[in-house]
Amino acid sequence: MNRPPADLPERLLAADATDFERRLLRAAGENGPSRTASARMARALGVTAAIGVTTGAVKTLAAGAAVSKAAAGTTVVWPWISAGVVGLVVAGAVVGTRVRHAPPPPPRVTRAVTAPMTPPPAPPPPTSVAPEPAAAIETLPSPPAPARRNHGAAATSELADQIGSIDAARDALAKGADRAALEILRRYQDKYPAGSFRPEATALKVEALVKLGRQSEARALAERFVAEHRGSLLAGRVAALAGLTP
Amino acid sequence: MAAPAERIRPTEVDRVRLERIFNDHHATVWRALCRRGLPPDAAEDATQETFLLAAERLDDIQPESERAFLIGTALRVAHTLGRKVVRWQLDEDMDQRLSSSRDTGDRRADRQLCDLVLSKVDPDLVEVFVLYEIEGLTSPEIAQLLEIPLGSVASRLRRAREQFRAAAARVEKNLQKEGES
Repeated sequence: MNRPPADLPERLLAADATDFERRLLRAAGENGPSRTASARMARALGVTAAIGVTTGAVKTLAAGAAVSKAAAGTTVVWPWISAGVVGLVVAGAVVGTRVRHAPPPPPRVTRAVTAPMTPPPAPPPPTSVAPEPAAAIETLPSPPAPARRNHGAAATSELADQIGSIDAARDALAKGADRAALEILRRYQDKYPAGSFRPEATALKVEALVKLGRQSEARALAERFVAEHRGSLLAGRVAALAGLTP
Repeated sequence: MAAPAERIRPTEVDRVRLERIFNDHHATVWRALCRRGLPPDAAEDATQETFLLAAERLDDIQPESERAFLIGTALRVAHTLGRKVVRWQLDEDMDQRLSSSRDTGDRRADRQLCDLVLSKVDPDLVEVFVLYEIEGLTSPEIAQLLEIPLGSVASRLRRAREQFRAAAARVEKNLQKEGES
């Protein structure tokens, strides 16, 4: 016979937990993802993370503004998902993140994910980059309305700038502005030689080169990329784009 | 040349709502996954997956069921990652965790200890314990998302609590011994 909810005991924290038990339960209950992780996840969804801090204050960050882990190979995640997951640049970015974080998962069943769908919130367009070709720039979605504070303004601004560049390149590619995409990526790589999104920039560059018919350049770049990122899904995508054999 | 990704044309969804539920619940989802035994990075991936799934079904999720839906989805995602692997990872570095957790004022160490203790609770019971004791879900919510009767929630919770307390007592005793040695 089912017990009514009232039959559940009081929660341990409200009842007779020992001090040690309280410590553990409280610590577990207070735990949460880092602001960086929250921003990454929000970015993947195309939403803005309003991240609470332990003081109770709320800091609103542009989603994805803090993505330091990307420096270790985490991919920027597009705000929409492609049909056909593995090996596609768009979805590959999402899955690539998972691969970086976890042991190689079993092959995923391809499924279409309809994602958040209005243009994603993007950080402000790069402030110190010269104007991009209109085809690329105009596709950049406007940053979300939420107020941004000046916490870690420098780092946030730089990351936002990087994200904006990658987004602009991606959007240019989507619009068929392949040369513009290449130019954006060149500027990105010049400006951020150790940027957090180098892998994504290189992958996009390979895609742009392929689309422009510059196969040999694409292939050479892809070979280097695959050698440096062997095993990642992004590498798989790059190899496929450049026609490299597995 | 490989064909470019065939993108699904973005459809209009309530991004505002998605953003709200993300901000309201993503920490809870992430935490539940961590307590389920996933390392933080894997929990992040699983959280992301959970919200992607939620985005697909946003129109089907009742506002009052958002949290239950998300946690239930997250647990299913976690299941796909393999319970045995997760728990094996917990057990493997148990000694290290124990040793590194002597600083009793360290929240992170406490969380690790909590994970350690939870790893000693029967996997079939631990979810109820986490959802009730840590996440504060109600028994109907737990029953709904785990698809078990209310009575099972109560019985699992009782047994889980016994195991948790026994494991916590052992860990505490071990810590005290280490502190004395």
